[in-house]
Amino acid sequence: MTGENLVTAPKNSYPPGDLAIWFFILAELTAFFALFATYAVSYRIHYPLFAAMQPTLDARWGAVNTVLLLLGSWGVARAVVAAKAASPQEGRRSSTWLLLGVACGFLFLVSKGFEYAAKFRAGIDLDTNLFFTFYFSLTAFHAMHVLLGVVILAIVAVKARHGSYHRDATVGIETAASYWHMVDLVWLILFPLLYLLTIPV
Amino acid sequence: MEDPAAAKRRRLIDVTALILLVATVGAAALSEWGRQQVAGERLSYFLLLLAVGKGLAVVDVFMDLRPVVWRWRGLLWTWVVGAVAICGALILG
Repeated sequence: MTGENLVTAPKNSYPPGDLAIWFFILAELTAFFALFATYAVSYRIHYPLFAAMQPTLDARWGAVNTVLLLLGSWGVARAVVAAKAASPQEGRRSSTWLLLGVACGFLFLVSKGFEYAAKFRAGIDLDTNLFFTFYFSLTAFHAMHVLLGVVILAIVAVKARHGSYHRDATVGIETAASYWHMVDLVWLILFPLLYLLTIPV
Repeated sequence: MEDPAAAKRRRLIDVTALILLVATVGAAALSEWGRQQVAGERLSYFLLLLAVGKGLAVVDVFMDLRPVVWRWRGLLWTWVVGAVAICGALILG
């Protein structure tokens, strides 16, 4: 073995967690890409409507949503590191970090509820126009993934509390973390497409 | 004794999270400013570039795909760059 081999980080053949989750993640990303592309094509076709409607969305709500998901992802990533460094006796450490992810996901759903409520009070719903059909469809479809992520993280947190994850057993927590980061990743692209672009009519 | 590799990864995660949070707040503030100033498309391109950077950081650091062979990391990089480039070109083009 050469000195270079000793200092170079090893390349893994497979991503973290169960390999099956990565095929699921790729399928989900494909579905979201199709939705994003449909939104973008509709934006181009119905440009005046979309450009006029987009500023009516409150970017501050979108920013709050993004901050919550990023904080959740931070907690989940730290949970995986904690599990990987823990001996079988110290396996509970990751549970607290996972609960941060659960809390952030829950708060994301609550903030989405407030955002939707404000729209409904203003008389805006799925049928208002094509832009809001996309707005509600994209965000609700994503929120369903967040809800599933919260459930998965809560189950994994309970298992972590019982010491199920440690340096010799990380597949479960890595699988859950990979799903959660996918949910975060999708939102990071959805956020600017839906809330942030500033195009004059 | 603390594992140096774990400590390094923890620091990387913390710093990345902090940068992503600052970038998010900055992007929202820029967007609000852009709407008032009618700054137009250039700002939108910048916001999309920022989204690409944030997405790649999530893939590499949070998902921990940096040490993974390129066929997996590359698929996710392609999704991030491709989704933003195609949608951005359709919307702004």
